[in-house]
Amino acid sequence: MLSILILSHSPDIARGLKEMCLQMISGDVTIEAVGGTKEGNLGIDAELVLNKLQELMANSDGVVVLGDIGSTILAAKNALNMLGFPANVCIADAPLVEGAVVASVEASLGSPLQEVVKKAEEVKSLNKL
Amino acid sequence: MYDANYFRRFIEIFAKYLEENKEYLTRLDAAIGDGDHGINMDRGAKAALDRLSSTNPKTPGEIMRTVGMALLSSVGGAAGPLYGTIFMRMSLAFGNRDKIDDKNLATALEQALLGIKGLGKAEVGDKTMVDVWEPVVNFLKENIENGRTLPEICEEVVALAEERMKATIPLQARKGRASYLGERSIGHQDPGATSSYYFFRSLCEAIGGR
Repeated sequence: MLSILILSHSPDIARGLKEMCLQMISGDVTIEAVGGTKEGNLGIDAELVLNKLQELMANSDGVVVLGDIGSTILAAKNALNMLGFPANVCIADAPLVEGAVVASVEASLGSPLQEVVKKAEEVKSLNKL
Repeated sequence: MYDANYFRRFIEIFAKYLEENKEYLTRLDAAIGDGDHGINMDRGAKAALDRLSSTNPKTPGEIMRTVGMALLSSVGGAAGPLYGTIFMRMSLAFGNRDKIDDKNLATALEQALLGIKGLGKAEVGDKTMVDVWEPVVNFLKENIENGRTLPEICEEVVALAEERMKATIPLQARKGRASYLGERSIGHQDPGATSSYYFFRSLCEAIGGR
């Protein structure tokens, strides 16, 4: 089973996007979201990102991480550095909302980690119109 | 040689500069970023001081690690992972030594620089903290390898950091939130370069006795 970790500068986006992803999945996948600072303001708690990532790694076969702007990706990369670049964690280079939804669906279909990341990253070239 | 007390003093001085310049850093960040750098760094530094007094770490490496974790958890913006990485990398480089010499310190700062460059992928000229860090670390490393001591070169280090900080003003940002502004980022001093100037100034004041 894979898990998806959603990171946003905004606690509301993190919460809302997790809800959207949960609605889309049918199979076995864990979805977690971290957003905002400890005080609930805009920002990211990089220590919480590290702890959440460790927890997901321990309880699933792999983790796909998606973030929005700037510091969420830095927080994720920092966590990977501190954990010694674990093979079963990937940051998807994808737009957050669409990427997280696609990754959740793909993971719930039982696809392997690399395939889930690839599908999420393909969202970058998706035409909406 | 610098023991744990020197590094505590460094953190205290850095925290003092961040508190005194909270509004200034936030104003710089409001011009080209999201306007939270001063508030974030001040909150981070206070959290670091709190953790230092509650956990009372004994070695320079433990002190730097404690500060790094506090910054990661409390800074909030991009500066959290970046400054967190600086202190964590320095902690790793110090290991469990009780005392740090000039060479150890130069190596640790070089590791910290590599850490932030790896994390943010910024190079000199991108209008970021790397614009201060890289020239200052290179200057320190070169001079210490040539047999000069940190107290001897402290004033030059601070002057160089200040010069490189001011040199970010005419640059166009190519990394971070400011890069979304394109040419409109020109004419503003980079807030991360500014807090980095306080970092080196604090280090020199604590260690060089300037």
